[in-house]
Amino acid sequence: MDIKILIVDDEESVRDSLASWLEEEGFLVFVAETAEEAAQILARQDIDLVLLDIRLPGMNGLEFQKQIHTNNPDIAIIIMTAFASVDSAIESLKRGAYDYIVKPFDPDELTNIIRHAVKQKLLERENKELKEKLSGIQGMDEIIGDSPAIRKVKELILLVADTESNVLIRGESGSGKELIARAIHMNSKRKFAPIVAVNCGAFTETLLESELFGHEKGAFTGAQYRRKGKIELANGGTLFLDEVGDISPKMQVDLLRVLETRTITRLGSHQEIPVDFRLICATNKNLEKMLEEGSFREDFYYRINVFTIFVPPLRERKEDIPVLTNFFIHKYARILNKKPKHVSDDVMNLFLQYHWPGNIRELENVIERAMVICRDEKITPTHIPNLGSDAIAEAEPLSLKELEKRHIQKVLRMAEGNISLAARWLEIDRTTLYLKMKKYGIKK
Amino acid sequence: MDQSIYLACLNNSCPDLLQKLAEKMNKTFLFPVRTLQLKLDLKSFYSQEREQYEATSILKSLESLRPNFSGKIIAMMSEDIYIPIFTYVFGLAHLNGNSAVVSYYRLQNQYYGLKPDHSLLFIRIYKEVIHEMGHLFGLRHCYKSWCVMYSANTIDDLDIKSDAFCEECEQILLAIARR
Repeated sequence: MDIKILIVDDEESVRDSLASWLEEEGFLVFVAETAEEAAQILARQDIDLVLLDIRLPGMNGLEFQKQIHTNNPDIAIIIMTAFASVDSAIESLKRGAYDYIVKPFDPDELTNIIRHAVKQKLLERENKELKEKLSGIQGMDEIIGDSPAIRKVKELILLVADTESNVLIRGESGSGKELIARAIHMNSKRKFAPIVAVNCGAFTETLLESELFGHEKGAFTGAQYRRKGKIELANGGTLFLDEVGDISPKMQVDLLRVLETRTITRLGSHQEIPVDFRLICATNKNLEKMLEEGSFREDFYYRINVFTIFVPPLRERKEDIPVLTNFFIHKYARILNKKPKHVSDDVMNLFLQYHWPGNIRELENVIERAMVICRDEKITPTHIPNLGSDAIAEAEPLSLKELEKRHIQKVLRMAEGNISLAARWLEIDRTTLYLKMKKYGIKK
Repeated sequence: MDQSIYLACLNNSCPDLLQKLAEKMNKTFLFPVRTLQLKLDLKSFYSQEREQYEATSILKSLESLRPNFSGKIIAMMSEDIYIPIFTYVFGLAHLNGNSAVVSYYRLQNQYYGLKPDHSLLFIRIYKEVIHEMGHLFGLRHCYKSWCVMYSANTIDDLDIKSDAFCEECEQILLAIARR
């Protein structure tokens, strides 16, 4: 990796001998007599380090330092000064110079300063590259599709990511809610801290309590060691609670307290530990119905539901199916060490007609299976499970009235009979929905 | 291209040292190493202010003597040397140049308040001569602290590094020698 150093000094002997010495050290060296000449080099070259004389004809070193900090804030500046102008050098340090060195230089001192600056520069560069790589892996690139529905989701992610608001992600099982949560995290200020995911549906109440809050040694039978909870582990980052609708009312109270006090207490301890995290929750449950039934607390609901993102089911963004298919084919070609394959027109038609109740997860599974069993270059209907009957049902020609009736029935089923939620999803008011239900003889 | 190396002591100040260095280098390197007598008036290179001799100008004077011999010359001197940007240097050579200068003023134990040690001094001078020779053949500084091409700016660094090239630097040098 070439490190580019620019020497700015009006004395030819300094420029030449320093350039020669730095070239021997293996650096790529540029020289300039004035700040104006140096500015032209900086505009053309990606310079890492500037060795800047404080006294220059025209624009002086301190003024030029300011200009560099404004235009190229990543460049490290080492100020070169005569003994008489050490005060100015100290002033330059206050203004953000990396270091200063007095002329004539002690070779050992100059070597150490430059080596440290270069080492820091390389670390910064590596750090930046890794961060870019990381955000590329788990950011928006992972959300595949360009349909209006998914574009809207991406817009909402970018809108909310940089805020500290709690987010509730709603959508059917397999629609990619965790991916959305990770994209929010990776586009937020907290992206360099961890995102800790907890599937709340996978634990009993007691286990979930220990999982979230951690415990001290001996807090309960089997607690042989002190263990940090997921909330503590998410400190500085994001806590993602998946299947939040499965949390018991008691745990909702405990979590509400954490959200209000921003402290936790491990099981078996009285010590309060401060925590700083952003909360993202996800559910496929009808929380509004649960509120009515009293199984979900209203105060907790409003606390987690500051900003809602609805993830559309795959059947509502069918135009994304070809690109998703291609994405998963390439993914499994890599994993299975096979060549990427094409899908036949028949298969793509079936995919487009099928209603995908298991959403993207189901599509991924179908493609994974096809990639495993297909030995040809093309995936044909023989390589995929029987999606036929449902697809045909979807494919039969319907009148607009019948289509509207079926759609209302479907949305009501999804909303588990919650009229307000169904009306919101249908983007009509509740009265209109009641009228349409009456018209088509639909019951709740 | 003449790849001979001429070792010289400015003002004939160290003939025994020259002979010893040439013998050791001839055993180790493919390039023939010869000794040379040089007379150079150092007064004009002396800085009253610094009480040292300016090495860049000495190199230029050595270059002016080049019509008298081909190959590369490494001149040794007992006086302290500097270049304008540095308070001191142990030696100076330009990359792919033909002349180098090595001062053993700061390589002596006495400079650091210690008892003279002639064998240690010889080892230090040898390392410095090989280092400058490396530059004359186009080698840059090496990041490996034990390689002779490591940039040693203190006597400790010089003592820590070995008198040999690392594998990488040796390969480059061999490629140059075969040209």
